[in-house]
Amino acid sequence: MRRRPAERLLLLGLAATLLISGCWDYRDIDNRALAIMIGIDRGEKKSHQVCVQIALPSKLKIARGGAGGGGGGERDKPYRVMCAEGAGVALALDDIRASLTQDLDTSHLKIVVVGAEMARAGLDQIDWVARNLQMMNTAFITVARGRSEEVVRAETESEEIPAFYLYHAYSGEFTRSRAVTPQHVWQVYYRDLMSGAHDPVLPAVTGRKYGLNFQGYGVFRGQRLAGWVDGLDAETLGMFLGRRISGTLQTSFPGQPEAVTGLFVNNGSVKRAVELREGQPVLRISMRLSGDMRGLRTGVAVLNTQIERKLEEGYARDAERRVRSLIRKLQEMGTDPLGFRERLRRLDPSHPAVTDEQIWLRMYAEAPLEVRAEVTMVTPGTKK
Amino acid sequence: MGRLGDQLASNLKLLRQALGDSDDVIVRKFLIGGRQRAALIFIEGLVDEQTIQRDILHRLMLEAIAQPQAGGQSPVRSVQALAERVVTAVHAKPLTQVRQMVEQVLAGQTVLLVDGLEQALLVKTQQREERGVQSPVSESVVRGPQEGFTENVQVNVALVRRRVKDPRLCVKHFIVGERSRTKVVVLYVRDLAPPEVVGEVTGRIERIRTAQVLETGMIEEMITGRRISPFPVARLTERPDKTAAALNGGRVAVLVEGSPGALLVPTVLLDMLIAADDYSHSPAVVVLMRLVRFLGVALVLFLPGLYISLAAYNPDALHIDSAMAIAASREGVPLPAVLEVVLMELMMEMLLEATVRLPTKVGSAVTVVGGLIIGRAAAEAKLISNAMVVIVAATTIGSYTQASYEAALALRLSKWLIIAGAAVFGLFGMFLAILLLLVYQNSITSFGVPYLAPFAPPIPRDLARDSLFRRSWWSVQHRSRTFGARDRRRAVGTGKNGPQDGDS
Repeated sequence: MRRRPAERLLLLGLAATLLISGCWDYRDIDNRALAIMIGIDRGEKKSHQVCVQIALPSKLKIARGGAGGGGGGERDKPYRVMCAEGAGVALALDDIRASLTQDLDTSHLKIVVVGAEMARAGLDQIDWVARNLQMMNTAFITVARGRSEEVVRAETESEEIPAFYLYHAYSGEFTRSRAVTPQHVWQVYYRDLMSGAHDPVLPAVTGRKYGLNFQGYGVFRGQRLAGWVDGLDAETLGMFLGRRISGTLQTSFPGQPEAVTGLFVNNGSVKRAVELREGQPVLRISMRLSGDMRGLRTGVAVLNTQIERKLEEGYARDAERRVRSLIRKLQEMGTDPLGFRERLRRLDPSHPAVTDEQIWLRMYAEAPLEVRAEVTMVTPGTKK
Repeated sequence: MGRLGDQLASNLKLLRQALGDSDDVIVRKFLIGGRQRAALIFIEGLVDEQTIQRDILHRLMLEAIAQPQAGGQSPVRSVQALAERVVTAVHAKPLTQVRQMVEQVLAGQTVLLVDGLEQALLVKTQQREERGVQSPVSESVVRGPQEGFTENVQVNVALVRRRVKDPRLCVKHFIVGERSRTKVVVLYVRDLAPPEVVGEVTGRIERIRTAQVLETGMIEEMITGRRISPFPVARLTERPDKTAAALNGGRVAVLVEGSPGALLVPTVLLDMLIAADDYSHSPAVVVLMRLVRFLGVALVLFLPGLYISLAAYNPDALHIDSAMAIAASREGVPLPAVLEVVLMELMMEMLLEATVRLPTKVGSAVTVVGGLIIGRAAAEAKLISNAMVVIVAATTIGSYTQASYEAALALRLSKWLIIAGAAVFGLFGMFLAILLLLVYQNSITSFGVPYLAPFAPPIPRDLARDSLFRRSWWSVQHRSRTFGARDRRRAVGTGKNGPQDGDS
């Protein structure tokens, strides 16, 4: 019997479904080993050591019907860590693949941790990440204060899979910590690196105390880690880098040096600029901050307009001091994450500091800093 | 077959032969007024015997004696005289052609033959056992009329007429089927329905050459020329109110004897997603109801294919938490995702089929057993994943939300195309299949009306009038352009409808 075109098409479709299903890329999700976090260090025997945190979904509480506990043994963890060394990241990963019965799937890789030693040697050593276009958009990159393996192996109380702790933090889902700037997917870092507008900054993390900890920033000079910014300096740097101004300022209550008050900064603007005076660059920072007072450390005093103004002046001095401390540190390290050199280029493209790296480093280290801060106290700390 | 002669015996022989000499063909011989031989021919079971006894036999055998002109003293000279003076049945008319007599006897009428006359009297005695007007089975509504069509086409026409008391309502009768001689009725409003659509419908019905027509589906296929397309290009409705609304919108209705439904043509895809009580509820509520129905369409069409794509080809497109949940759910399941979907969807199709075929009480038991017990047991035994149970359940519920059973069937079939696309190429294949489906739907027309109208081609006024939402009745000034109604104005000469100043 002569078949009509529609019937032929139908038969062809049916045959295709049955016969060629799975000829391309078909791999069931349960046959994929989902790598969530990867740590890259210098290896002992080879140039790279790679540690991968692989999720074991069937051991998640949700898969076990919410049953918790289970003794916490290695076999009960909903993830496992596998490490291998290789002449490059891809080769080390191949080594890990060889030990797996499933296909190592990096499409859900969320965190790339670079060990401090590797970061000092230069991130150009791990261009494997940069070559993966998808990963560039989805993976957050962070730098370990020590070896990245410590971070990959560290446990957290709040998340079953430790990588999710960092992922949720960096994607801004649960933390407002000023040590975490939720924007450092690899692509952003790479964009900073390639643009030359300013040196890159990566959030730093350790795997020592209480599991995973955010600990300041690693600041880079080009591809290479130049040093760390910690504590209040990190908080101030976060104010420059974050998508919204946030931080705390302190000052003493007028007439009571022991009564320290805090201002929770939640709004404002921070501007930086460069001026040329007699051919020398002058760094200028102007800040307009506002926030709520968060109580007194000792005693309670009555506020009035005069006292409020004095408190605002005190907070402004603290802001200036903090900025000076940060910039001084950055000048010492010779890194420019705030993009002063780019501003100089816009001002005078032919300036020797723009064209010559060494001249810039020298001038930057000696450049005077002018800081002007204005602080407005929105509420005195009492709320309905 | 020819004409009757004047001899009763030969006429009876002729008719008996024409009627196939069946045992249920009854020939009742008697004498008119005790003198002139006559006979009634009818088919047992199709006639109302009380009418025959009361209006024919009793009148002719006993009362005709007292009426000289009608056979009392002299022989009957014409059946017309009998019809005028003796037979008291409502419908009675003379016939001469044997072929016409055979048709009428088979339709349940009675033929009276009188010796010496070359004419016969046809008396309407048709009676059939039938159910009364009941609620529509597949188009039940919460609010609105609860009347549905029956198997009697005359009752159905009457149900429509009660709602369209307009002298311009045209009712055209056709007899289709060489053996079944099924009555097909075409209804339309003369000054609303486009003449080309009316001409096309009646022309196609006249051109039907078939032995028998048993229900609307056969007529639908024959007048639409549909081949293997699952998408109905004639909207089947059980509701007289919906039929009346369609007629008022310039469409044509086709009723078939023996079928409790009307075919509305032309029709569009959007029509399948609109329920009768959408026009009884507030427009604000209708938005939600239609949104739910559209969501149901999306679930039926896309969910199984999406599951295959995301679980087997493109898990990177999932959020990490969802990827974990699906991976955990699939852990230990021996079947690949494609086979899991195909088997479960086939199981669900079997379940749906069983639910339709089985008696109501058993059917509900099958649903419970199949849906809950087997599904859960299969998931616990790790034959299928929990995610798959959710997907199959969502798909089935989605198909139940559809206003038209035919549309639900079409969706269920189209779903397999998308499953096939997803099984071969993942997300890419799925979108390719969707594109194919859209292109195909775009190529369909129903009596000249594009199937995807008013979306494609876009008819902005109709989209704003009645599509994903509907406007309030008082603000609807015009009929839909989609079906090409000749008189576009809905409210003629009444000015602007709606609340006036001061109305609350």
